[in-house]
Amino acid sequence: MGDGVTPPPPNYYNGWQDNSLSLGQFLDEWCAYYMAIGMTRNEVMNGERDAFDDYDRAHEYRRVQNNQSYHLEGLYNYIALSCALSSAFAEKGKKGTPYPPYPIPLTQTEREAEKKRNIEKTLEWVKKRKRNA
Amino acid sequence: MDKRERKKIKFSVDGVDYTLEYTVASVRKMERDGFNFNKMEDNIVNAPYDLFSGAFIARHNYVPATERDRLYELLVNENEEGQNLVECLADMLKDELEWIVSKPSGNVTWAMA
Repeated sequence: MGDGVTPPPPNYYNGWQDNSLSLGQFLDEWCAYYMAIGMTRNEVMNGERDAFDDYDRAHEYRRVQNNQSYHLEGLYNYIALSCALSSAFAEKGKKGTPYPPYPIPLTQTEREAEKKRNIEKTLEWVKKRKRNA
Repeated sequence: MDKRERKKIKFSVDGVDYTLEYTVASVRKMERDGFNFNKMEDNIVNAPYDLFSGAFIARHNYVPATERDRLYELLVNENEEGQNLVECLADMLKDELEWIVSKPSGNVTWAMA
């Protein structure tokens, strides 16, 4: 699922109930669905039932992860576009907002690293001011 | 019994251990071979043998038809508990089908007609 494409919801499950699918077609679709979410053919055919539950849960996690990554991608696009527009329409002699030099911090470690960088930057600025004064 | 555990029948004949169970592969193969899941009770001649033979697909697919015939004679036709065995097999198959239909939508009900 590296490309982030997830299988469609299994709406064909109701197909067999209302007789629009034969049992054979239903089973074909069923097996294909599990192979689409990452199971091997042998696992689908002869695997333990636990394995199906694990793959179902893994599929759900993957769906959530993909959703988060698409959301983050949208945020980066928004920032990039904002920066580009701000540079394009900036007043003469002024610079637009630059693209952030570091990625958006997501974890606690990344947030702490960003904090550290900001403090260093501020101290550098204070030092520079003192030298010029 | 945990719903996630498949029901199995174990027996030993002439020192050979057999485990009968139905997996997705068994259900699919039986369906392709023309087994009618909805009219098992109507087909009292062939259905018990097909059920018995189909239970070999999961673990003993290499067992030839002649050997399956012999085991069927021993365990079903010549055994007082033979009918119970067939009923157990039917129950196991129903359980497997119900489990298949219950995943992954979880809200579809299925009943053997």
